[in-house]
Amino acid sequence: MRYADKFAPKALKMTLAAGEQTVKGISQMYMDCPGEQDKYDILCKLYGLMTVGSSVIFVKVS
Amino acid sequence: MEADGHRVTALHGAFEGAERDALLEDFRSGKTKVLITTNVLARGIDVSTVSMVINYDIPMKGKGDSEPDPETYLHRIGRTGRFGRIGVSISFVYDKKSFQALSDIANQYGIDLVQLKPDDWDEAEKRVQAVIKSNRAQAAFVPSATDPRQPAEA
Repeated sequence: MRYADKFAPKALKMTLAAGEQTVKGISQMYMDCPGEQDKYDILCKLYGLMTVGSSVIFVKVS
Repeated sequence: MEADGHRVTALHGAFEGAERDALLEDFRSGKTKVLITTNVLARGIDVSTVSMVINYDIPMKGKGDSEPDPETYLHRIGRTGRFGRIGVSISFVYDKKSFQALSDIANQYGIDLVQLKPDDWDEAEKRVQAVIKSNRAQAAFVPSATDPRQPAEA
């Protein structure tokens, strides 16, 4: 944003209100895992139980 | 995971152009069903069949990953639910820091996060399947932990 101001200070800016950025139709859940090591087991179990189409798993860069 | 019979692709920054495109094409065409990736794909890719996004790690930013990264979270979960389709996102939290990070993100966007318990698989499965099976007509459906019409707690 700061770069945009510098680059084109008079340009019209369009931003979304914080409350409008979130997306309907996506059911957001969280899984409370007992520990970091348990995450992998839980992940496998999750995939064992569910029949999902395509899915994406995001991880951090190690 | 491949041992369990899932066709998995891992894609990260170390892959260059052509290789990356090939892997992505496999995923797009359904040859591989599970894509494991880092933030390189958090935004931009558009595979309409993605019905579930897992945040195996909560997106963080800043020095030493000290702060939650709400923007990346939003882009990540935006990989599902394309064009009015229904999608599910599940974020894994395991300690105080990750829990706090996720709740900060949820607060910022006013998201009602639904809790899944790793020791109650029947309930977890029911919830996820219910969302996946509901069709496009219900795209305005917002699952809510506080909505009295839905069971609030498992």
